[in-house]
Amino acid sequence: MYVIRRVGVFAFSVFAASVLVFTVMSILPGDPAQVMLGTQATPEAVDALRTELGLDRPLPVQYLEWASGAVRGDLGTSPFSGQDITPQIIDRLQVTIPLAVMAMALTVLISFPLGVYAAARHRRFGDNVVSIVSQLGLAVPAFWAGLLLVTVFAVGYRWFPASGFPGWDVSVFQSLKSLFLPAVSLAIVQSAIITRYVRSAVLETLREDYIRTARSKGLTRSAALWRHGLRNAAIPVLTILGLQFAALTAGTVVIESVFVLPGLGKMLLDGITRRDLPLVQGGAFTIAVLILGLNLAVDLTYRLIDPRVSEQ
Amino acid sequence: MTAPLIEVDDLSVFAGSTVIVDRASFSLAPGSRTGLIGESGSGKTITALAMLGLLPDGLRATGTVTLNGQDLLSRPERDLVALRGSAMSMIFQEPMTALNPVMRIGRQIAEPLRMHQDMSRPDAFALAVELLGSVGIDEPERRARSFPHELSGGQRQRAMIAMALSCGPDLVVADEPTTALDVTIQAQVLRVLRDQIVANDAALLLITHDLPVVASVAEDVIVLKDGAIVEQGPATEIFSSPAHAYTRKLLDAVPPMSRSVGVPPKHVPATPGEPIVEMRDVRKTYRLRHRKLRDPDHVIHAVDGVSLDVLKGETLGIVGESGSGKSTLARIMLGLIRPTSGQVMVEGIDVTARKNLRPVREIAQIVFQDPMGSLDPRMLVRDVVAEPLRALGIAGDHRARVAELLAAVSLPADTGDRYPHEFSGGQRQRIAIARALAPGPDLLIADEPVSALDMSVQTITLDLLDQLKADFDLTMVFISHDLSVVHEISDRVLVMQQGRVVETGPVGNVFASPQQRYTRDLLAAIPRLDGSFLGPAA
Repeated sequence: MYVIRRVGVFAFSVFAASVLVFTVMSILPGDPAQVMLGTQATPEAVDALRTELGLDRPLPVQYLEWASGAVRGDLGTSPFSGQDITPQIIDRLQVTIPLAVMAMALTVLISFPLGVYAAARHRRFGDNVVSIVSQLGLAVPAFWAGLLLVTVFAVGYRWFPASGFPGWDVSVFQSLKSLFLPAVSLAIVQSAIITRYVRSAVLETLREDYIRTARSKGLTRSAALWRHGLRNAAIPVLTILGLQFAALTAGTVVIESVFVLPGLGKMLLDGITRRDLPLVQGGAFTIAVLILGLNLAVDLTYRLIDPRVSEQ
Repeated sequence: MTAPLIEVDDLSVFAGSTVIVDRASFSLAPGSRTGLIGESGSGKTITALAMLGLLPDGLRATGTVTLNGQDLLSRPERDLVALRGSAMSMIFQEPMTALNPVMRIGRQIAEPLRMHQDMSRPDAFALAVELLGSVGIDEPERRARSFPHELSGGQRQRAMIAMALSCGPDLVVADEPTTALDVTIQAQVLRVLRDQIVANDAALLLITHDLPVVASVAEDVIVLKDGAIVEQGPATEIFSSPAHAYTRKLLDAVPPMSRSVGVPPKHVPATPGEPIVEMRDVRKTYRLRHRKLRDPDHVIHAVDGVSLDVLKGETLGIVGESGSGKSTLARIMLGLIRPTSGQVMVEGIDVTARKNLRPVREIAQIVFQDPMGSLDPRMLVRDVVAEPLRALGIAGDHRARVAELLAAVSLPADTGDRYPHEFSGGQRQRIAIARALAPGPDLLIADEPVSALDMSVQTITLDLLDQLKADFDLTMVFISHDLSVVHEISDRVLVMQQGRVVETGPVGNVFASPQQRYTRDLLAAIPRLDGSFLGPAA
């Protein structure tokens, strides 16, 4: 029941996102036909192109056509390059999704141990160190961290490439290597945020009665924390992780530019500068669906962690 | 005399320089059952936590606690870890929060077995199921696979008992184990607790503020006041001839009904007046958000066809266990909740019509259970009490009215210039009462007004309510799960079960010769100071 309802919410959200993306793109100033033909074009030529692109038809009709295509996985053709948009996006996702997943994995690997450690050393030296480090992490913008990492590990040590992406079919290892520094740059800020949430969630959990019960059964402090605390603490952290994943996806736009990665973010940015509206539309919609899908996954994960969710 | 199992000598607990437990010394014999009693804040729980080495961070213990010949306070944590759960264990007050919400009951019970007795996972689980059966849980196999929220309060506390006893400890500390439970459930759980302690040959330290509960389970009693022991000895002796004034005060606060059987009520109904409240076939149903197969109509009948009159000048007591619909009924009476169907009139005004909210508020006011939660912590007491006057647009000198009200509830004159948190629970409840009286209501509804208070404070608050009723010419509806409290204050009583009125009549009649089985069960479940209600140990 919970699953069905939740999937229903997802479907509705996707619909709402499609309407939103479409509407925003359509009411943006700047006529695509005008942009494509340049400032020298005659009004007649612009009108002709508008007709050709279907821009002269009413908005709802345009939406329905675009949406029915999107349902079939066809996001239209880029009027700029004349290529189909969907294959382009799929191509780009092969960079962006691994990048985001890698960044999130790094975030979890960094922030969970740090947060738990800080909570266990509450108000002692270790906790203070973690707190200062996470303050720093928060203060550093991702692109700047990226430049710093490039300077040290790509230019200095030459361990990682400074930019570019060889492609999965060329070399999986080299591809992973070229995603590593961008993923670290994204993970720094995220880790700083998540560490704080993990720390406070664990601290809160440690004050719960059932931790005291666990200790009265003969568990050590740390055993009580591991066996009884972490799963409970994970519940609020999971919410934040889902939200931050969205922020992280947005962050890829900047970081893909810094590292010249052929990802979705880079494509969006290029599309915007070229006023390639159908491309931007398709890209934005794809990102929206990704984030909504992720939130759905988070909500379904709740059920695995917290047996009370389905009864609420 | 046998050697003591555990000997507490000169135990003190400090929070910084504040003394919480003050040089407590006592010993428990193997297999003995001892009650540790005192009011809230007397240091009962802290004493027990210090014995198990589970003091919260920031608290420091001095003295010695000797278990089977070794001093626990000087032992390193790893030695205590080996003893906790095996040689000594603890049962906590609120089983909902004391059990891990995301771990199955069976695993939680199996945990100490796996740790202390090196049992395999299936063996430990099988024993956990067996233990659940022995504390009287039906379908133990299925319940072992349930999560805490899927069990009732009584079942959770039984599971807690099974967990504490799993490794056959020498000492079990039970901290207010039945305080959060309904009276009939309390009786069942206390019986299981006592029988299991006896069957396991364990010693019990029972912490409670409730003297009749102690009397029914414990042989010996230790009385704690402000962290220091004022008296200890056999329960029968201390309860029959207390030596210390504090013990006498605690005993005096025990409602007469809990002292002996067949006590006449304080009040008898006067000549019946006009009805001030008329309820006719009132129903309130809540639709369940999720359909469950077991529950075909998907609704909860919180109030299920109640008709009643509250007569001018009487105190009507409404008793019932949690979920019986008594609080919903009170809120409907005030127009705080709109009934699904039925008629509610207060002094001839239709309460269910939204436009009548203001006139109804001037006639009827309510006092809630939790005096901390129901007072805005950021408001001065003066403003808290005056708020109904302002909200209802009642003219006059509000300052003078507040002073008058505070005096009426016997609070000092400067109370108005302070904040609610500066007061004790009992004082805060007086503030709440003063606020309710501010608009000069004819009807005062008190919903569990003394349930959060210590027994001695309960008595004083009940007396105050009686006094105010006379002074302000009030009609009162008094709601409680506690029959002995209702017995103290009501003229007429109404027993509710699952949204329905089961029985009603003058207190004397209903309590002396209950007609319904449910009422009889409720009455039989009241713990009595003579320790008789549980019957002999199995």
